[in-house]
Amino acid sequence: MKKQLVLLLAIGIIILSFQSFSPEPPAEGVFPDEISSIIKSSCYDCHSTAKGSEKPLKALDFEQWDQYRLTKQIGLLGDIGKVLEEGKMPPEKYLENKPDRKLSEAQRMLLADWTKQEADKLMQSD
Amino acid sequence: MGRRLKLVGLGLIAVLIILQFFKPEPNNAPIDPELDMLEVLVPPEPMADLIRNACYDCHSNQTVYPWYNRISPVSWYLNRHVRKGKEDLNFSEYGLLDKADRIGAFADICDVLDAGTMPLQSYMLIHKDARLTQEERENLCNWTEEEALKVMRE
Repeated sequence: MKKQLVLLLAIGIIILSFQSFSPEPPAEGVFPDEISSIIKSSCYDCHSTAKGSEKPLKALDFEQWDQYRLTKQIGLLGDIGKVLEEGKMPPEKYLENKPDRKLSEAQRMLLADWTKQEADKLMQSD
Repeated sequence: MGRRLKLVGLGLIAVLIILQFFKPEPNNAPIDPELDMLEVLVPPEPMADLIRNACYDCHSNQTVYPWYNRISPVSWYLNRHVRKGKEDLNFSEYGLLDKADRIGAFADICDVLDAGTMPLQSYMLIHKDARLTQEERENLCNWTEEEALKVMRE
C-alpha cells in the first residue's frame, strides 16, 4: 500500500515536472524561440497589447499575431523586413532612452532573414 | 489705428502674392503600363473606376487637381497629402513591389476600407465620387482579398 502510494506520488511529480517544461502559450509559439526573444526585448515595449500605445499597435501588435488573417501576416512580415533593412526600427528616439534594446547586426540579419522565410512559408501554406 | 490696420492688411496681401511664386511640382507623370496596378491587373471597369476615383489622387503619380490647387498655400497642403499617400502606397509603382508587399498592400487596403479611415474625410467632403457606400467598400475588400490570394499562388 505504502509502495503504491510512493509510486503514484513519483508519477505525479514526473508529470508535473514535464508540464513545467511545456511550450509557451500558442500565440507566442508561432515564432521560434530565438526570434521570439529578440522581438520581446526590442519590439514589445511598443508593439504588444500589454505595453504598447495606440499608434504602434494599429500598425502591429505581436500579441495579436494569430488574430491576423493570412494575407495580413504576410504583409506585416514584409513590413518588418523593410523597417529592419532601412534601420527604422526600433526608432532612434526609443533607443536614446533604452540603448540596450538596439539590435546587433547579427540580430537584425537573423530577424530580417526569418521574415522572408516565414513569408515564403505562409505563401505556400494556402 | 485705421492706418496701422491698413498697413497690416496690405502686408498680408503682399505675402499672399509672393507665396504664389512658390508652387510644388505637380504630381502628374505619364502612366507606366508595366507598373500601374490598374494597367497590370485590369480589374472589372466599375472596380477600376472606384479605385481611380477614390484612391488615385493621393496614391498614384496622376493626381487630378481641383482648381484651388493653383493657390498657395493650398497647393502645399495638397502636395503634402499626396506625398504622404504615395509613401504608404503608390499604385503607379505596383509592379515594383515584391510578393509580400503586394499581398500586404491588398490586406491594408481592405483594412482601411473596413475601418473607414480611407478615403480621408476631408477628401470625401470635396470629392463626391470618393464617397464609397458600404457595399462598394465590401466589394473592393473582397476583390483585394482575391487578388492577394492570386499573388500568393503565383
